[in-house]
Amino acid sequence: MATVEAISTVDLTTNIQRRLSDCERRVFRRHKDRILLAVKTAWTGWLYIGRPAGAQQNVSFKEWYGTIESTVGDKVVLRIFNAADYSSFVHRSGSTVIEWQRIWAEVEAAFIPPLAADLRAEIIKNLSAPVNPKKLGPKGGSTTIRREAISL
Amino acid sequence: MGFEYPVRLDSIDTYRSTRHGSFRFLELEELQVLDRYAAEILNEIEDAWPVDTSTSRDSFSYTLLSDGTTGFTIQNDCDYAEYITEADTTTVRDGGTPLFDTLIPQIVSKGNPTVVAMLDAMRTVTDSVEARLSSAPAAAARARRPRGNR
Repeated sequence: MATVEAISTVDLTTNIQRRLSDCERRVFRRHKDRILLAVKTAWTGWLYIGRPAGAQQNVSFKEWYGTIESTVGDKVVLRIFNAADYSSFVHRSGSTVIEWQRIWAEVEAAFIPPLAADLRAEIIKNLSAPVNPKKLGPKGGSTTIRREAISL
Repeated sequence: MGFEYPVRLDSIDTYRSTRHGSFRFLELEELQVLDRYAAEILNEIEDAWPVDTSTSRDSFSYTLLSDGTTGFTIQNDCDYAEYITEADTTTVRDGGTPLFDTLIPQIVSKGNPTVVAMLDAMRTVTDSVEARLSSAPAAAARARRPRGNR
């Protein structure tokens, strides 16, 4: 497998010792959505030379997804994945630069500092609100449940 | 562990095939519209999800369907997400209904304005893609026409 897993850990140095509150998490999520959109927007413009007309395109585009980890408020984690098993090898024609690494470097530089600043500002705004510290429970194990599709 | 819940926009697949005259895969513009609404729907699910530590809520994600049909899969890879129930209801072990089995169909329904907007937007973008595709052969023919010596 050669999937993409790009991780950015943002140390907010706020020492809040709790998970992010709902409104703080919404700020984080809004930035995650922006970052994912930026990655997906950059992951376009492929030439598909030699591919038959009508064949499926943008296959790996569909495989991008992202998650956020807001359980420890001081250090939040953003994860961006691409589940296509060739995505980490993809490069532009005539270039040896791995495309996801190029995109991720640009996205991290442009989007992570405002994310950290907005999140820090939101946390500071909420510092006086009373919140109980939460602990993670024990982890169990089971199989993934796959449901029938909802049809619209 | 966790769960996967596919959402298929069958009506959009039918609409696209009818407009095009045959099956065709989604174009990039269509994928981008679908992607935007899938993110919005996922956010609505997250907002309605009960929270203690936020571990299971943080484990939500979605990917677009890769089988050529229109839709997306909502997934949660938290290893106890499928056991979460409404507060003060029977546990899943004792025969209770997992929350995701009621919450997701409730949000992903035609009664949700976001879903209605998604279906409308998908039809609109299908129309614009079809207009582009139908004008593309004419434009290509114009480009191929020999010039000069008129």
